Amino acid sequence: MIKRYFLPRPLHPFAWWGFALAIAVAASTTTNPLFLLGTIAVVTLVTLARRGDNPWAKGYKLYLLLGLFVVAFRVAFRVVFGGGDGPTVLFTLPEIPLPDFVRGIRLLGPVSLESLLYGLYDGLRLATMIICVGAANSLANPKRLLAALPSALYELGTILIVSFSVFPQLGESFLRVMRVRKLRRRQSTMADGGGRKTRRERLGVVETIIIPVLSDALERSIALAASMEVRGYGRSGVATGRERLTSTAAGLGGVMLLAVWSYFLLARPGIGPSVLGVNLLEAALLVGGVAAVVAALRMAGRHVRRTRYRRDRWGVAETLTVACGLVMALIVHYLRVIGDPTALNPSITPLVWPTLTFPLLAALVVAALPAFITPPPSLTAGRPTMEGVS
Amino acid sequence: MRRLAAVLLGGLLALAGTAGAHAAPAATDGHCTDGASVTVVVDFQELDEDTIIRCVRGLADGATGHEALVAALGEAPSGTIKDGPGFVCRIAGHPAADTDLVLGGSTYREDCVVTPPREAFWSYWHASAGGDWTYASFGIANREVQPGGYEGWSFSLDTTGSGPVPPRSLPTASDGDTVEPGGDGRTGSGSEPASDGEVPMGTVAGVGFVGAAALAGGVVWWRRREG
Repeated sequence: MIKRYFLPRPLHPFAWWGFALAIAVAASTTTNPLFLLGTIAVVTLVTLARRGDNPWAKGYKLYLLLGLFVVAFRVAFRVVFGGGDGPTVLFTLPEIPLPDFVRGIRLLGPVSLESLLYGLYDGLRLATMIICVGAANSLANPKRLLAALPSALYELGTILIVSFSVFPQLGESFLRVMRVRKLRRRQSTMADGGGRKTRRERLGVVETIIIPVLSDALERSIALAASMEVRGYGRSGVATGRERLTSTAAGLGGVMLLAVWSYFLLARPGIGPSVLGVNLLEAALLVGGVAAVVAALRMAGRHVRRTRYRRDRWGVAETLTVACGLVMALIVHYLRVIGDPTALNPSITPLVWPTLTFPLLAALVVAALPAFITPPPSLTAGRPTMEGVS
Repeated sequence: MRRLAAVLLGGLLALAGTAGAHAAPAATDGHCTDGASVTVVVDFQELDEDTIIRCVRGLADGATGHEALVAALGEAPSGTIKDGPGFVCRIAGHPAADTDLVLGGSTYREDCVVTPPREAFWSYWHASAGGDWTYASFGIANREVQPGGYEGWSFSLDTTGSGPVPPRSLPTASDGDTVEPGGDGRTGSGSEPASDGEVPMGTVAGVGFVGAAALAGGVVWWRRREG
């Protein structure tokens, strides 16, 4: 039983996205550098332990570098625009004098430790969110993610798949044309041996590169369209006009509710009563909006008939993974709204040591669990996998 | 990652020791009576704390409002993470991170991360001695204090209709007997200022956890590369 659970298989892509987004939400509301560094370490651990060996999985390093760049940029920003608003001045740079009408801005000048820490804390918060998205991207294969889209978004999925495959093809056909051009040019220079360039020669790039590449793309798309039509891709659904109208109305209504909800979320503080730190009006808008969108997708999807090849299944491991992320987000939310929030946002002026309290430590440990309690990914190195069993 | 944390911590340790080492201007309770010093008034309004009235002496020429406030409090006010130390969100520990402020029927907690809302922020005022409070049109780090003048801070809670209210204490020395000078003002809840070299257990535990997680990541990476 346990052996079967741990047979290598890729997890459902939605599980990884749910896990990573919940952690990103938790990280977005804190500025404790220890907690943020711990989050990055935990997410890195899970990614290294459970990513597959497809090309997307290797991209995680780039997200770590991007995070580092964000932190460095924020700190540098503090140095350039008035870094002296703290009591502990580290060093003083020559100040660039500005005219009187821009008195609110100071360039360079004294740089204080506190000012750099403000930049560091803020940068770390953003970097953690970016790294969480990067982890989701390398843990979940984007192609499997598209395959798992609900039926109503089937056309969108097809468009994305086609456009994804166009770029490698364009590159390939560009290289081929360049090779041909190189071979031809040697021939042509031997024939006329220099002299004044004609208009036609000057526009040679268009004739010898752009047009062949474009005509290649056109031929390929016509071939692709023909093969898709043969396989029944272009078939329209069987929905009546009335059904289509209902699902469109439900979808639009849901998106509108969600838009109003996001306005309330960003415009602090909220309106109306709140229970257990959850604003009732916001919660109602969110639940109503999501319900309407889900209903619209179901209604639209009922009329799209299609089968799936090797469908990703949602098992216990998927539920556990999402639960781990949600537990972390809930602990942080509880601390922020009801519990003691001092550890979430340690003060810089006056300077205090950032600490990890017990709830925060527990949240990080829970977030690290998917590295151990999920089945390992099926690598192409040739070991028995669930795909072979099912 | 582990090395980064170690470097970061080492740097912090070294710098915490130097905090507050240089000589600061002196502050005493009550209004200033000479024409060279600056009086700082902090009115907590609905936060129910004693109003702080302090006279700051020995400020350098061209000192900013920020420097006067730091000298009067004996510590720097908290700024928001987004805007930096120059955007004051908490003075002398108020409003604390766990204080529930009621704005428009719902509760709000000041976490000092993004800019405070219009309904709950510290408003910045200035006045000449015996004059009227004027709402400052520059940030505290960009406004020079007037010798013999007044620097005012007033917490503005739920005053969206009427605009922020100035400190209730008038900027004249004769008003001094109507307002009791505040205590030492350092009543921040929960957090203790960093002391030299002493690292709390939570920090040690946190650094240990980050190190352990990074180490585990390294082991996993190594094993998968070998395997």
